[in-house]
Amino acid sequence: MEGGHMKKKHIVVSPFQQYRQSLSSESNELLTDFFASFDEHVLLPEKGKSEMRSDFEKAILYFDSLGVRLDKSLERLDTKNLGGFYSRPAIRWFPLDTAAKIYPLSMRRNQMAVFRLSAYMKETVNPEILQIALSFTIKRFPCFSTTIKKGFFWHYLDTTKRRFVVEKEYDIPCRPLDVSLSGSQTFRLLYHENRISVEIFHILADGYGGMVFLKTLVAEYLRLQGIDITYDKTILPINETPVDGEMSDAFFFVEPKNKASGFLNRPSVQLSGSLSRTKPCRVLHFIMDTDKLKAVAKSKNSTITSYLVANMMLAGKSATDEPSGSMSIQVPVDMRKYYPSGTLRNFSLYCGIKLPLTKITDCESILPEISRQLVEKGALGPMNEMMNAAKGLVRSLRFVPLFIKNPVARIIYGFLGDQAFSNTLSNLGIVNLPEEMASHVVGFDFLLGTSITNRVSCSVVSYNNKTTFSIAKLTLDPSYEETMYKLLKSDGIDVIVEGSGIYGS
Amino acid sequence: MEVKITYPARDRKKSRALLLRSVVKWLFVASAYVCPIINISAGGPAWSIYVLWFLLFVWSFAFSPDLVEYNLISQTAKFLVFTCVLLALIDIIHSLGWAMFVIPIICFGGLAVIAVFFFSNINIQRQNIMPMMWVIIASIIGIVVAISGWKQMSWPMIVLISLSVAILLASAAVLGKGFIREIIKRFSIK
Repeated sequence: MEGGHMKKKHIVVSPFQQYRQSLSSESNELLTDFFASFDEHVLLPEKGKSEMRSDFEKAILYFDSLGVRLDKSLERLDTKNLGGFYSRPAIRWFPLDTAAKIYPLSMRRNQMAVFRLSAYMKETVNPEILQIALSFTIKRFPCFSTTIKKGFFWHYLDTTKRRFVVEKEYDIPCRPLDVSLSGSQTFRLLYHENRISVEIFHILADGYGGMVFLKTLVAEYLRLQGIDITYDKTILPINETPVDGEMSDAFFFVEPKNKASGFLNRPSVQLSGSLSRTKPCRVLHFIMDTDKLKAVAKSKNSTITSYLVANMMLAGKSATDEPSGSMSIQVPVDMRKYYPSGTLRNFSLYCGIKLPLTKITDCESILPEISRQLVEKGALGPMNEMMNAAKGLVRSLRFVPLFIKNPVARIIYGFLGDQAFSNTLSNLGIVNLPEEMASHVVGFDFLLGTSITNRVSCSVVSYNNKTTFSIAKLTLDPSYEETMYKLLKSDGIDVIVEGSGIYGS
Repeated sequence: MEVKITYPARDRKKSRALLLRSVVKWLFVASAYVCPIINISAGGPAWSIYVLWFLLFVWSFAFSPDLVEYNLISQTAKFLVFTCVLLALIDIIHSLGWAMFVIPIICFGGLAVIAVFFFSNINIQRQNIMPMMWVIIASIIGIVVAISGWKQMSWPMIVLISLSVAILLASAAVLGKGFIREIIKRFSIK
């Protein structure tokens, strides 16, 4: 009684507390032990810790709703999977690898080198379990549990200990990440219906490293769902100590004798549609039968990559009003095929496949030249030359303070780097999954973020006899994708088109 | 070509914010263009210089915040630098002569605020030590240069240099090895 009024206290009982009240004392004891272990493993600031605790509570409730016995669900959620990651201070740091150094220098508020990898599950994604999967997986990828910082000479990655979050997808894919705050994530993990997507700032990894992260995360997600997982070199056991080689700058260990060249290219023809303010203004996925695509490419004496590049040249020509000049398609080359390396960071370079507009007539006539250029320009020699050029550039700029490098690099990247190519085709190749995972994953796609002037950026990945050719667009002009679609159809390839609506002009 | 939509619609609020930013940007550019013209036409002291600096100041804080290391310490340090330069410009342009006294006061005030942010949450803020170090280094260099040129020491300068050295020593003592590690990270050429 206070001031003659009786004050009613509304005690809000959370669903988890209600659940605990319904349990036997034995089960409650199990939970008490579980959360005592949680407290030992998580020494984050209070907010992060309570959010993480809530993640575990939600996961326990989810398992209960599925009828999983408490001891079994606690076994799956065992806090030992958190390791010492959340209980040790963040002291580790990583210099950016040679290829990554340009990305923070060239980033702008609405422009960042982000790529996206998605796995399509058989069933709708459960965010609670995905969150736990991320909390368990992140420690296995020390370079992913970082935030970007400014040094005097270069940016670097500083370890951050926090609850890395899973977000519901509600916005444009591959939009820039906010890396400004202390401890900001340099990747984004999203879910939408049956899709798990990871959007990665290129400073962390290339497509290979990103795919290893995604596959490991999906494997952990499935393990939490009760599926036994077979690990391999692309699906890493999350409780294994990370190997130094996975975090190393592989460029550093390779010292080719070749001369340095490969950076200076003349500007290429750009597609003519107006640049959209929204980046990307649309994304599209062309889903095709891999066997059929391979057969068509083979019938033209080429590979899938050459065939797609040829069609991209033709589609590009149809989407430009430029009367002359050359169309150049940037094709990233995974250097791991020449220098075996376990690094999960950037270890790829690129070659430019170039044809004058006048010579781009039909697929059959340009394919031999494209195949020749792909073989020659993507060979070890030219790649070594480019690697030397990249290393030389980094070496020569190492003593230049960042505040000088930053504006200069931004201008050069904007005016030279991007305009040297008309378009990009990044082919991640075939994704393989062990049988027990394959039965739960129906597809993958890979999307490149848009650049500054290139109206389209294309990427390919194949999985389970399905090849997904993705286009991230920077113009509303539909000519490019329509021609690409028509060309593939005219070769007898069935194309299912999925994607986004138009995000904006 | 039929497209099956598999992506959610976008958040419209963000696109409006982007539009607003681009409109404001042009207003700033227009002001920056007009000011020197008016200044030249009207004659008198070059006030447009500090107006331009102020425009940059507002733009940088309100519409184009830092892409990396946007935190309390870095922003206070940045605010301090912008303010000091602004005051110095006003002082020089109008030949007022108070800058050498006022700027050290602003600096030690700002530095004290930064030190409070840093030491009150050292576990988190240890990764943001560098902007504080820059202010300390700039203060020490500034005072050394000022003394060698001006050959006069005022009490704000004494306070500033004492505070700078004290914060530097305190950070090194509190962080121990962590202090060295931070310096190595920040000055790495790898």
